[in-house]
Amino acid sequence: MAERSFKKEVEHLRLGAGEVFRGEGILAITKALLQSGVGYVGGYQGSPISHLMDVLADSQEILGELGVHFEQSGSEATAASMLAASINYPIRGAVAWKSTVGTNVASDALANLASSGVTGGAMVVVGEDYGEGSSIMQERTHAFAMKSQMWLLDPRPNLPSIVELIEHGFELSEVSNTPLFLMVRIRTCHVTGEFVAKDNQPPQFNRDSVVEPSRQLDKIILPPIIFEQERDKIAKRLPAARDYIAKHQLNERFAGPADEVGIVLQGGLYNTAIRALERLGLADAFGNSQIPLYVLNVTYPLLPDELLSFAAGKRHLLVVEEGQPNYIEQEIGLMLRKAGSNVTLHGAGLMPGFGEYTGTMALDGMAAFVALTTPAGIDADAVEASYQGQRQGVNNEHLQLLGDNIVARPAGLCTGCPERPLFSAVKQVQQERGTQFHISADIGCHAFATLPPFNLGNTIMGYGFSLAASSAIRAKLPHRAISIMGDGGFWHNGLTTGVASAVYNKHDGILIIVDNGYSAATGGQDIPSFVKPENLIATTREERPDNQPIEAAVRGVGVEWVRTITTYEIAEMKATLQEALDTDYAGLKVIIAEGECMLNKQRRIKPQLKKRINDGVRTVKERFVVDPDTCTGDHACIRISGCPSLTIKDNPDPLRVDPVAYVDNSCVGCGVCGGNAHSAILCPSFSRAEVVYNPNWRDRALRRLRDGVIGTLQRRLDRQQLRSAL
Amino acid sequence: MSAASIRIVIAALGGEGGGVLGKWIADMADRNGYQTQTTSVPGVAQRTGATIYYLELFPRSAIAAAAPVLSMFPAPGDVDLVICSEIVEAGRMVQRGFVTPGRTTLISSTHRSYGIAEKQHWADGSADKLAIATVCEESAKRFIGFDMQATARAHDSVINAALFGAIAATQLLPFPREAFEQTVRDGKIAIESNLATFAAAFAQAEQHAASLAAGAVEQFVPETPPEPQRSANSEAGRALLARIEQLPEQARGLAWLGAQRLADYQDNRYAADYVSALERLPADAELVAESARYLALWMAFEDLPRVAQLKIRSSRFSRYREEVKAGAEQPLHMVEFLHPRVEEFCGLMPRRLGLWALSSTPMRKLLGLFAKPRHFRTNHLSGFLAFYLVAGLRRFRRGSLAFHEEQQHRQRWFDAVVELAGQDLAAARELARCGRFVKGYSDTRERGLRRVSLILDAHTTSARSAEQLVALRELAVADEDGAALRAAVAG
Repeated sequence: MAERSFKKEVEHLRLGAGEVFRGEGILAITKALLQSGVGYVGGYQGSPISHLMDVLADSQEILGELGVHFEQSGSEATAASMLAASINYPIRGAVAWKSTVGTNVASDALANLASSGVTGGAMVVVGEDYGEGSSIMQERTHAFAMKSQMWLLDPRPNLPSIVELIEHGFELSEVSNTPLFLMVRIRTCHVTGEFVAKDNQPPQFNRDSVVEPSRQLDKIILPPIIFEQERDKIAKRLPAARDYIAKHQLNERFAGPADEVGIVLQGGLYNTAIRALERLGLADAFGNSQIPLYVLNVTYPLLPDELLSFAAGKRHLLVVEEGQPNYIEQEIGLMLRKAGSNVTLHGAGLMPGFGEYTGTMALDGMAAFVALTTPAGIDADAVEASYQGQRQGVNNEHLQLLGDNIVARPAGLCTGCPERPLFSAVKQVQQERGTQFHISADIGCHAFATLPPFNLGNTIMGYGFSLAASSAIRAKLPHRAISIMGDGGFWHNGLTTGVASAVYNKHDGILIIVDNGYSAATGGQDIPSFVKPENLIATTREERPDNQPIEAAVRGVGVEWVRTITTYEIAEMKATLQEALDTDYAGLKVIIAEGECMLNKQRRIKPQLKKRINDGVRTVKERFVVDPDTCTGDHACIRISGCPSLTIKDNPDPLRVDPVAYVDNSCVGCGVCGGNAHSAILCPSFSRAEVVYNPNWRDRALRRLRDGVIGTLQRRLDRQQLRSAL
Repeated sequence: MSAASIRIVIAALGGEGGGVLGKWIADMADRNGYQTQTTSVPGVAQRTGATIYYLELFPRSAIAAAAPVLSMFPAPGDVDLVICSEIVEAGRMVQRGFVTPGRTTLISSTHRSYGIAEKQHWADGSADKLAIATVCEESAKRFIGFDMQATARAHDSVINAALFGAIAATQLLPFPREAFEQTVRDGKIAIESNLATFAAAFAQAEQHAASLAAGAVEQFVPETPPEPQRSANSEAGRALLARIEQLPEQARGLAWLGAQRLADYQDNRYAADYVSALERLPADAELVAESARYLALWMAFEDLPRVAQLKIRSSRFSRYREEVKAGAEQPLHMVEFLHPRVEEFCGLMPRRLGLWALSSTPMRKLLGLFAKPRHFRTNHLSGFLAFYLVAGLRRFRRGSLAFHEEQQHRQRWFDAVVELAGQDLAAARELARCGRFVKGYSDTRERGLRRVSLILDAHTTSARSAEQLVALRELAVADEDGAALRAAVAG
């Protein structure tokens, strides 16, 4: 059960020819795949492509009706390998993932696929996680396209352009026997808009209509065939692709009166560029630009003929290319040089040359280009005046004041997250041993433990790589190496790359596997060890069933020392960590830290609780409270928790100046702050409130009895207090 | 240029539902003749970080053939309306340049949602929201700011409904109030409470706009609590108050609060001791006020009897019930999380006995049976009576080991303040402020006490100036274990 449900939206996927589709980018992409007649789809979640996977998962009924095979792949390599179906047979397929990380994982399969070549159209939809909101290192998918020779589509970010290019993409893939990437930027995935739909095309082959198995020797990746495949790439596939791109005008040229100059840009940057031109008075709201534009909806391969024809008669060209290295600019420079052109080329330098191209960067770059080239037909002074008007900026005094007061908001674990008590425990063990641990961290929500308030974790090498990442440093540390990995990373890669290898190499370290039941960081998708949440001991504290899959998996590859602990049991977690650090056992020690993802748990139980209460069933709701009387405002509790619901408020005691800790209404009663108060011996201010709904006769009778006696004593105390008051 | 889009930024915190507000605006615009585009950045920002949604609305009437080209990003200097669910986020929008004087209308709730850096601070690391609100007011063409979370809470609704009301009140968007209200109805969720919140916020925003024209932004961001009244109800109280009225005027309020606190904590004699101590100080308002504050808090240190006394108060019971929103008749269990250490039990004993118990291994073992994590249910008879008995132990407090030890520490600090006051008044004020380190329980408290004694040690070795004491105080909180301070003092 993913974080966001698209059950309602996926009904739009059924729209037929002529009907208007309204919705988000990811849904439009899915619709375009169905209109293109794909026979199978797969992929691996990760922002910004997570919701595409959720859409596919939620549209299984529609996919099934059409005969489209769907798999939620175990990793991007799994997904890329699915595309093998298109090597021998005219079956179209598409897979999706977050790039460049996912492309890295998939690259072995992709390189072989690209060498073999495809018969059916094969498309990889990559969400380019670059710029604002990105969660990974900043690199380009472009390099993969070039090195493996896969085509790279970068459509203008509006739904009609994206849909049309996907349809062309399959044709292009087939005529050139080459798999390709469709690249969408973060914001494009969720951009809303509309387009006129076509009918969905059921694939030619499905369960009932199967292929005739056929073997083509020239598709096998072995010498000497591989040399022939390389020749084929350059001699046949590339020219075929260029012909198709030119013939169908996949790249777009927009004329403009100031034709001494021109701008070459990636399709995905079109809207940003037009807005910058509009603000400088060089374009209108509909994209009519005074400067001619050459929009590359296909950014690899480039078409020398088209480019040279666009450049003909111009003095200056500006290449607006996002990311580094500036491959497109370099190749254009080479084309111009080889053709003996004397057009002056601008790009990285006038533009920043790295980082996401925001509105301001585009505005700065375009204004600088006009100022430098003063093309005929453009009033450069007027452009400069508009530019100055747009770039007034914030005054320094305000910036200073804001700089002092605007706090950073690093991402953190959610309210009630089961991973919080684990890191509280690690931090306490660290404090008790008076040492700072070197910890190999991993990809997942638990990576937030590297940020305040926990500040735990030294390196992040990739998804499921934390154990492998400690394999050398473990021999040089003053303590046993500690690696932390999520269940998502474990299944993605960690079992083989990490655990199996560590057992083989007699790794005398500790692996903590955070088992929350879902691929939580990417949006709560199901994973192989997903069990009915009710069975997670952390959820119900019932007796743990045998054969927890992660435990079985690690035992299966030879791990002998395994402990499964409920994360919320902080004292037990601390004791287990201490044991793992000190035991005489020399092999790999695996601690499975179990607790259901709280976001998912709340989504699951909130309606249940509400129904129980409405049905009149006795129900106890728990939450925590901090006593402002005994809280002294030292915030030690926050430094080992960081729970969003554990916050501060103005001190109600006028004698005290520091804010008191305070638990707000979003508390889900997970108990971590109380557990921490106990295990770290913090303070007596934490209290768990248990509110009984639909009390039974016993509740009511006991309440009356207790309130009667306690009330009498309290009235006595009140009188005493009044008597002794000054 | 001819037609242009309306450009809107929504700044929200992850999990607050900023996307829902964006959808309301987009749906309303769509039904009222506007083509819309929304973009957002999904991902880790939605795990409690700050995130923005961007909308562009373009009049369909201005579209002939080609569709308008709408931007994916908000650009600094190019935004018409900025909507923020929290005041620091409003400041961030100004900082990022999205708020342009003469163009941008800025709507923000003025409540705070604290960042981790503010929350984890050892004392008070919170941002100055009045400064931010003032910048917002000066930066925007129009600033609408009030506590919209309070408005929403008053109607048992969510902040989106309040923000939506404020947006409607600005009349910036070309849609009538009915269109807004219809959108809320079409949302089909909590319609009644959302509409009530919408209406309240609409009225507040209109009133805000009117009064902002007349006055400053301070009225919407109240900060300082009023000065407490000073009046005594007993003979002893009147006598003490008369002495307090001889102290510098700005210190009297705090001193009276302190005296009342100590009478409640122990007895009138204890309160009188406190006033006598303050009388040793020269008549410097700042020095006496700071000393009055920290001396009172230190003298009323939270030992077991004090914690028990506070836990069983009737006022606490009613505040607690209100805070967790339990009905008056609803059964409510209060489960306290306590972890007294052997040290706390020994601290309760008469001094010599306590010292012996602390050093006796069998005694520590015996006490260890009780000194462990415990849950007490204050609303159950057993839990209440246990606290009741422990609270009663305060009559033996003066002879206890913990009292003696705290007194020693406190006396050393206060004597140093008094002594220094005769030589260097500015330095004495800073030394008095070191009392702020003394708080918390167990390890936290011990670390605080160590900080004070390290600073006192340093000062005893060679007298420090006010600036040097401020620098030492800053070093003292540079790290959790005080290593920086130790190094500075040693060097």
